[in-house]
Amino acid sequence: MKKNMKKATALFLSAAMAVGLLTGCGSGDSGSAGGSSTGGSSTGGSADGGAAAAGEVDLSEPVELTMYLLGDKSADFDEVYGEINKILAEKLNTTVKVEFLGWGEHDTKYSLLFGGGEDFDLIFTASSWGHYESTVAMGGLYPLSEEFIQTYAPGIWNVVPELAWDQAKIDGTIYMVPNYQNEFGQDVLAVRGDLMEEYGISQITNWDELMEFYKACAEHGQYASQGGPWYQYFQAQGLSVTGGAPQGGELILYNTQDPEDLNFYYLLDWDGFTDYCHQMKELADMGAWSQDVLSSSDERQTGLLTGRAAAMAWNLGSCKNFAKQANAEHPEWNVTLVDPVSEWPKKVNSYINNGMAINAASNNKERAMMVLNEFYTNPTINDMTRFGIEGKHWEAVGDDQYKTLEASSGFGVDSNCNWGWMNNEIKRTEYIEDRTAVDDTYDAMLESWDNNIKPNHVYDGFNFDRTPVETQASAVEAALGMYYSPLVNGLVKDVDASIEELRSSLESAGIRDVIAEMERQAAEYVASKQ
Amino acid sequence: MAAERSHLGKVRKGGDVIALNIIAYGFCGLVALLCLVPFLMVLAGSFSSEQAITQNGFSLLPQDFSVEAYKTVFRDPMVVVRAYATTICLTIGGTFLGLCIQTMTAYVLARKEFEWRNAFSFFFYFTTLFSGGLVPYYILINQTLNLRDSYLALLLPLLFSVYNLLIMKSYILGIPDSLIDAAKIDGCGEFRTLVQVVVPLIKPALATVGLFIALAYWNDWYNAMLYIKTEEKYPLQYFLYQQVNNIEGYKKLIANGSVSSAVVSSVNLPTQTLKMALTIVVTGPIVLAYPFVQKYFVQGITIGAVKG
Amino acid sequence: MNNKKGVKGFFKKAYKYRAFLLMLLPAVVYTLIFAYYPMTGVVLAFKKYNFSGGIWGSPWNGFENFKFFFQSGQAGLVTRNTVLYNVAFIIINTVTQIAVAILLTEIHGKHFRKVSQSLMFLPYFISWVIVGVMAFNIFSSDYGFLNRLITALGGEKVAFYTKPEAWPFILVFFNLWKGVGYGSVMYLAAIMGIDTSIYEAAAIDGANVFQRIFKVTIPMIMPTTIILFLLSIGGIFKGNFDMFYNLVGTNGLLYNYTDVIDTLTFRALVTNNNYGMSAAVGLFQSVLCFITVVLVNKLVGHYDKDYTLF
Repeated sequence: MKKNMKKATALFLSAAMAVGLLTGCGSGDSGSAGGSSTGGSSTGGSADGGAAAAGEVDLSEPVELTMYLLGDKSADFDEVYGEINKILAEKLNTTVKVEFLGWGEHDTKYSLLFGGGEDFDLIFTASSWGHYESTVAMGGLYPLSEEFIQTYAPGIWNVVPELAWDQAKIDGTIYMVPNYQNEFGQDVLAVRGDLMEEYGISQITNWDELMEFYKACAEHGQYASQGGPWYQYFQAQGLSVTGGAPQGGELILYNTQDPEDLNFYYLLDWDGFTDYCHQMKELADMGAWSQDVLSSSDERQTGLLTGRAAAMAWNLGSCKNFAKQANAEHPEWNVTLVDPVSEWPKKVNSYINNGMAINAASNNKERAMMVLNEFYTNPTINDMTRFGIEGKHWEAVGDDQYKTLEASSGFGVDSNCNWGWMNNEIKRTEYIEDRTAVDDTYDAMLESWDNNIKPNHVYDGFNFDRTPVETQASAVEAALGMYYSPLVNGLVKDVDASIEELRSSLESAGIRDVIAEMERQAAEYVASKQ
Repeated sequence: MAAERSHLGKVRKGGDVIALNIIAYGFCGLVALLCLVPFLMVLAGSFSSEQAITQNGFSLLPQDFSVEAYKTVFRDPMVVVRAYATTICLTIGGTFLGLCIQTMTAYVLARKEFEWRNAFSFFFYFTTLFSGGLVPYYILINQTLNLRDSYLALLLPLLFSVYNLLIMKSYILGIPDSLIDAAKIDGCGEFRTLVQVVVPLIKPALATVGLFIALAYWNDWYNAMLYIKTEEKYPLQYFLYQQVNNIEGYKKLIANGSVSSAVVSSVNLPTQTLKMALTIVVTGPIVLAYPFVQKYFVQGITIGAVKG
Repeated sequence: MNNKKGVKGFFKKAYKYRAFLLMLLPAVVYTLIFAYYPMTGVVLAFKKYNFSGGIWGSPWNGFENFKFFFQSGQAGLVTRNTVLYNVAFIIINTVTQIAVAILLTEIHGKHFRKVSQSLMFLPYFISWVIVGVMAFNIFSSDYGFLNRLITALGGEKVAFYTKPEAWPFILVFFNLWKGVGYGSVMYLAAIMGIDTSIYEAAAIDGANVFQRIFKVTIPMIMPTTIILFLLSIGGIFKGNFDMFYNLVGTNGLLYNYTDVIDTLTFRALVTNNNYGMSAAVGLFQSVLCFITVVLVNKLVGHYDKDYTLF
């Protein structure tokens, strides 16, 4: 027996090697409890006042900041940032090391960076899809007081409009530096010109003309789009999604075109929704879009590019790009851009769709803010993050335009998550040599929109914070799944019955609590603005 | 050991045998065909142009023949070669170590005279039911054990699987007690009994569980995503699936209407064909290596042959 | 355990089992570190998680995290769907995988046997993302293969993506298809572990091949079958998110028949990424699985003590 014991011991030892670091873990254990809470040691809310009051930062020590961006790293990225670091080192005695979270990873890893005690300073963020609200709710982002911004990033403070700061506020505190560019929140249509002509549709500028076009498509056995034009419908009524409301803001709308109207329009209390669903049922039954839209893995542009759909609704820039691509592949299609909600002045997209934030656990918050100021307002650096190295990737055309050079694919224009510090004041536009009709339409549309920006509605800067009613809000999101998209795309058998079912399931999920909390927050916000 | 003998020995060719053969050939042939056809579609798709696939859907032959997807996969051939090497080393090392631990443990749990075996079985099984989720595990690997960016972060999480353990245990239970008792009477200790008596009898089981462990290592990209930063250390699947996951994540992203147009236009990759090319690149080596494992599934065990 | 002799008896036993215990040690240590230590994270289900507090320092919030799931009004439906799908998967997969394994061993043509077995493994490597696209290519009402076939045969198009009743069959089929090769390997190995002399004895007794299969092969692979069955019971309240998400997508029309706990949770939490709430749903599933497994394991124990999991 003893001999065998020895053998067993030997076996165990070899196996123990496989398990590895058995010994190491004992000592590491005690560290873990502390480790998981290291994030918080310096997070104590607004303890930054002192630092900001101190004003000057000691720049004598060189510091390397770590910055997390989203997306893919391009081939020439390190080269470009090497150049940027030269400037930063000279000016601020600071360099930046950039890490990327891929599109497939950021959903999982973004909050693990904070929860797992990763050491970093700056991170890209964005409302909803960029995890802004959820990260703030868990205390991951450093609250930026006005003095702090003014002290360490005076350039940013001068440039970013007040509306943008308002949008970035959660419960009265700013946690991100929003980007500043006037992207329009309203979608346009890239539409097949040849089909419009064939069906005798001369223009699509309002809801009725849009419906006429959809019906004409259906009558000719041609799909019009990849689903119902829901946004176009409520935008035609002057309404807009509300920041932070369930279902990406769609469930509760507000009248953005009428600054006097401070009501919220909960879909199921609003007759327009029922009306819309009936119209969509009619269109879907006629065959204006495929019955499979809800399960299709097609991308948004697939229908247009393959000719399966006559139109595609998306933002202005994307519509232009894909319209040009479709025309290049099928010149006879004559794809053009139309604005189906042309009767209203235009709403600028929320500025917190892109932004930058500072890790609450960062040891170099002041430097981080100063570096961000450079990215945001130093034209040389800003251009480099957008286009790459001048003379290699791009060249300047005049003061406010750029032209890409052959090597530009190694970096890509606006492809390296520079979106957080887009700055309208110094933003160059593309100089296009061989212009097409779509480019002209685009420029004309953009110009007329720029000159037709709608007056401010107080709710434009309002962002609902769902944390106080998180249970209800989550239950509502879950309950929406079964009826909402089928209704919006006209695919239910009985519209009225489905609406009733949706209503009752939202009621029991607690939608009234959500609305009540929202109204409370909105009233508070309005009061703070007066 | 009897070489290439069917485990059924000699069978007479009666009507029942013929009937069974018709069923067996028919059924297995049909199932195999149902499994082959979609794979051929994936193969054909990987050699098609992206445009043709979105336009026409899948087919059995390449449409508008193109190697664009493979060009994307092999953008940087040295990286792929290195990733292959990493994965192969991990798979071999992990499978060997994993099999050792799991066989040893399963052997003990299968021994009927070990009164505590049920308690220990429960101790292991319980961990498959409850888990603390991602956050504590991430902290364990990344901070407590400090394995961030280490190969051990790829090796250790997959080393031991309770499923494989219990499957192995059930195979060992099938060995007649008399064999083990005989070994003990001959003076063998537990470890020698395991190595000299039990292991030769469970070759199919070792092949099966070994295959499962190997597949787990081969297919793993998730641990690499969480813990590996240095590109030189990427295993194959992560290197490849990073690309696919990025496309999927990106698609989900742009379905969200509020994302700005700069974000939308920042990615331009073949999507469907790339996914299919990756499937082929990943599956290829396994399909080639499979016959070596397979020989253990087509050869019966004669217990008498290993006695003594 | 056996407490008659108290602590002293325990140590005596431990000494007697020292070889066994030593052999178990690596696995036990591994399990303690990699499974039990992170398992303490289940407390997140009762906490309002924040980064600075971490797992232990965050404030407790009772059963708050569980509420959203039941308040969604669909908890009953998705729990039912999850269980029914898993029951169907377990029964159909087990029967088919055993049938395939037995029939494969009955095939005498060595090459046919090897090749068909290899081919059955291929679907395992095709990710659910691709399977989802493939399914769309088959079932789409516009250009789907099946509808082209139906119309070519003079039938009416079927809009599968608005027909929830069809989906249990489709999902069961794809699940079976993807796992048939992987699953049957386990039964093949079990069949290969049967002593050939038992077959010879059966042949001498004049059993025909069908009797041999039902009287020898199937009883002999019972231990493996039951272990695998019990292992799948252990996941009976957990839905395969990848499969349901990639095949069904966000198609609410099909949810009555296809929504499972994991897809519902995903929908509810995708925007706010609440660790506490996802831990709560996970705990809910685990507890139900645990209860089921203990019950089923007891039942199996009545039949034969050796077949139980623990």
